[in-house]
Amino acid sequence: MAEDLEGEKKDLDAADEIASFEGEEVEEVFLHARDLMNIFVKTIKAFRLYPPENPSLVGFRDLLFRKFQFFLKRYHTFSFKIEEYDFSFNNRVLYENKELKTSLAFFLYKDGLRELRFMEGLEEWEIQGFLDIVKRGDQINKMEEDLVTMIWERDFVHIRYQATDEFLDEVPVIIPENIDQFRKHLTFEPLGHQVYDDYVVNEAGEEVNYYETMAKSSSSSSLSVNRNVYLLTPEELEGLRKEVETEASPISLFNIIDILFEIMALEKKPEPYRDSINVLSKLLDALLTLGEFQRATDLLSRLYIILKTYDLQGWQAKAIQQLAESAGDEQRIEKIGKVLERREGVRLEEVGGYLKLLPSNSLQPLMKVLGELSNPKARRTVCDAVCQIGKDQIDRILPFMEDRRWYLVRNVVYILGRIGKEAAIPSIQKALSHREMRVRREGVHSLGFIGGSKAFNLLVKALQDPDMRVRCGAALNLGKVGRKNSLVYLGELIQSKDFHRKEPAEKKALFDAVGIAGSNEALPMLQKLLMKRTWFRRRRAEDSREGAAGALALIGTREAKSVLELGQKSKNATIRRICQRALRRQASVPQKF
Amino acid sequence: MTQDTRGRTQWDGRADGKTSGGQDHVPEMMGTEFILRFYRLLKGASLYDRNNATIERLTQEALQAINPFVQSQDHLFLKIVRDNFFFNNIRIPVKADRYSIFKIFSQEMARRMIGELEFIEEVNSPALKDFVFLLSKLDEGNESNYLYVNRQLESRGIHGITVGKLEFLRDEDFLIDSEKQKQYSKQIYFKTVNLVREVSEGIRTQKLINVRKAKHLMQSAVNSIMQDESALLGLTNIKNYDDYTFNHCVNVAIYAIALGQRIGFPKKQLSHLGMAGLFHDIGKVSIPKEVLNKTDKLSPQEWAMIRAHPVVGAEMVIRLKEWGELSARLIDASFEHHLKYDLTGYPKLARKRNITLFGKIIAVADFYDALVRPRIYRQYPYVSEKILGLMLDRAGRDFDPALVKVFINMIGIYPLGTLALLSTNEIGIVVQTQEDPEMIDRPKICLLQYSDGEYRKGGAVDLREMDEGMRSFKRSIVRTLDPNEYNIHVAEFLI
Repeated sequence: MAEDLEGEKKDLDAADEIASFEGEEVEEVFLHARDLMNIFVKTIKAFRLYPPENPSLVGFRDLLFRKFQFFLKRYHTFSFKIEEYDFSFNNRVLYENKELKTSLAFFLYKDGLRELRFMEGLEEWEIQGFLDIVKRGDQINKMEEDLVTMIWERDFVHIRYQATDEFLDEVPVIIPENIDQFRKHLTFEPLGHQVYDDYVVNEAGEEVNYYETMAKSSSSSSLSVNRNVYLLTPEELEGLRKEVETEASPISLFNIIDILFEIMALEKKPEPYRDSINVLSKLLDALLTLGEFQRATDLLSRLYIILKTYDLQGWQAKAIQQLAESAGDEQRIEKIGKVLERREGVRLEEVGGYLKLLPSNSLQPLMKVLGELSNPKARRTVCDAVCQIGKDQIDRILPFMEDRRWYLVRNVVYILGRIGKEAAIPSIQKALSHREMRVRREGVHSLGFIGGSKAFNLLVKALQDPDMRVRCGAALNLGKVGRKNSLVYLGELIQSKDFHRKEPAEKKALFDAVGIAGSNEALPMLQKLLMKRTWFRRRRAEDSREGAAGALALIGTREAKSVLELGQKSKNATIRRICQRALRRQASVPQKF
Repeated sequence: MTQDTRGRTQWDGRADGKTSGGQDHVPEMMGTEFILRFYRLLKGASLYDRNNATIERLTQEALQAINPFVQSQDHLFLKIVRDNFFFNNIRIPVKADRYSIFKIFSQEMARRMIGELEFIEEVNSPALKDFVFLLSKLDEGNESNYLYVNRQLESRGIHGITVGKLEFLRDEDFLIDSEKQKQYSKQIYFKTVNLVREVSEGIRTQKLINVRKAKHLMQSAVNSIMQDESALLGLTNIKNYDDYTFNHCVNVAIYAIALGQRIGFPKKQLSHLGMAGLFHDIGKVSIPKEVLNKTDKLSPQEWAMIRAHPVVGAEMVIRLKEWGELSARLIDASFEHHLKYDLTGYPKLARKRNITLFGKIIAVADFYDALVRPRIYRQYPYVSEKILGLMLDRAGRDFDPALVKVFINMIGIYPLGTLALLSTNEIGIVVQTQEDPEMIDRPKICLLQYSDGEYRKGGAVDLREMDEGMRSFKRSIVRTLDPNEYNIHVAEFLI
């Protein structure tokens, strides 16, 4: 595929820039070098031109790598000189472009590069690293960065360079050539008294002069006598290794969050205070982009602690408040959405911990993210956070009930249920007539969480839902919400003539609902169903006995247990078996009184 | 011109053959062992003849590292790319305690222009001795050495050993020429002093700071220190060229880079350490000169001003327009360089936290350089070994104990610039410390001769030199002296 890339894209065409050897007899090495240079130029152009996600880039990189491998295997190194407008290999120009804007030679030259050398053993990461640098080269701040610095910092093993530092000599600096010249510049002014380094606090809390301490100290002599005093132990070596590893990792940069908070604790002037807040804001962005939610949580928590516990001036409190509020901004929440969608390496409990700290202005952006997330576990995390943030703000959540995406509506219903406010019931009532069964089923569960008479009545109605799964949910939640009041409706269904026509799952749900209602008032009905003797339709009767015994076990009172114990003594083997099983089940849960 | 040819960072994961559990990979261990034993043998070959019992013992030890490895892996191949060691293509990370030996070994090989050693079959004791004595007697800086060794080995019927040339870019030759290295280091030093001046004035006059320039200078400093730290470390004896404050910042940067290198920081972080050293005192720019230069006791308000400089410095960096990794490092260094290891010092912290390694390194470098500066009243001796002793005493309270130890190993118990009285009653200045830890108390000394009312440069002597009977050293240090007492400005002998 990569080979097809050659010449395919006009923007990358380097034909006019690459040397032509037509009609000439040239050594083979020049032909190979020209071929490599051609791909080198095209690949760099592609990396500078295309967005990073463009799939062609991988093809270009791989092709370039293969070309390098071929060349380096044969000739060991590929090095070329960089002039203002051209690249030359063994004193022969292989590339030339005098257009400053498009010339690759000038692009490298202007940053000081004068020669590049690629050596045998070149690895893929080095080619990728080099191309990344070239790509970044267009966006850097020239006062801070250049290609030479970036190449130097990457510390490639098989890519070397020569560069000029001419700009360092813009202002002439006198370098003393001999002692006399050196002496001319020596200053012998008395040192200031700010020799604060000279003081150390001793155990008594007094300041002691270091020089006096030193004069009295005998330990200096031990340096030459006892080398053990400065030999590193294996533990110290390992400790240093770990510290270097940690400190060299990009994440360690976030250590400055602590320093910024310290500055905020010390600073009384608005400008530096706000500067610190601004940097914290940038760091929060970076933390969210990298998915560092634990640190982001810490940052936000500390803001709240400062707001609650510090004696702040008005402008300080306002600045912190603004930063905390900005955590809920749409852009930031979108970032979180992207990280959550990535799935890999995201610890949802950490994300949840962070989201729960967000201010209420985050509710709408969070709901938007919820509508777009495809990862179910991540959706659950966001829902739980919205439950927490929105417990007093359901008005901000309700508009999403109208969303055309059923799954978002289901999430809204879930959230409203967990928040548990009766004010949400009209919206949930609407959900009970939603075309999507999963929304209705969520609706009955939410009613179970909210409870109260309104929820009770809606659950009674939901017992007639066309979908059995919704009816099961309705029954169970009715038992939970209505307690003994639900028995009328549940009992009616259980004892109805059509009961035997219901699916086993629904029958079980209805009996379980009676059990969940937990009232002894159900005992006569359940005892009757359990003990009922029948010569016909044994299977149907057995289903009812199983259900009744299960319900008795769930009720769990002493009286309910007595009924099961009675059944255990029955002459009917089936009743005995069913009751024994139910009692075993009951024994595993604490008895109710 | 500057150039870069260094290998990848130490301890940077699997690419270096490091296992995730932090345990040394077998080739790394074997590689380390091979280098240690081979270096000892090479060093022995320069001191003893081939029939000496010590040579026999060292040869046997080296063979124990070579033959079992060749037997199991078919060959043993050591490649040196600058001071990176690749053992059968796996990079060997250098730990702080072995840093010196690895460094001196790479220098020894570089002097001989040898960059590769390969054993393709097991070797016996005479063959290894032949090889090592051939190596030890090679001319310095001769690019054809590898051809000579290979031809010699072939003519002696030794087919299991080959060597390869040291690879370097054309302009790198100055790096193996100590005089050029010294000149190069001098340029870096004085250009950097000038840069610190420019930056300080730029901040005062609210001009844009040319960070790129500072970065390039620190990259050059890192290159120089990685090649041979002694040239730049020697220049830290300069304390009052133009302005103490600027000298101090450059010195702290040099100490910090050298210390960072010893503990294995990658290049990028080393240059950031240098920048952190250069600008750790940037907060002092806001302190009026009258306060900074006041020789009387400071008032409480003036003290408060002084003690605020770490925070003010951090705030100045925060205000930089561009914001990235480097800014974070500069903030760490500025804010933390007066915090002590036990979190006392200043600024007072609102919450306990770990001081960053950057902060701890800058604190050690800052303290040492501040204390070794010449005192105006000279009440107390200016002897760096006393300061090192004090730092050891205060390790665990004021400083990270491990860092203090690395620092002492780095600058030696007789640091560059130390004025010493020798057993021969001569006096001299330490001009080169020994990388070999066993010889840490035997530096190279520039003897001083007194004439026309002042001390002048005499000849250089190596305190490792033995007397003719090889029973004892020719010279040893009896004690160190305070240069102020002798009116000697040691920097003059090191520039």
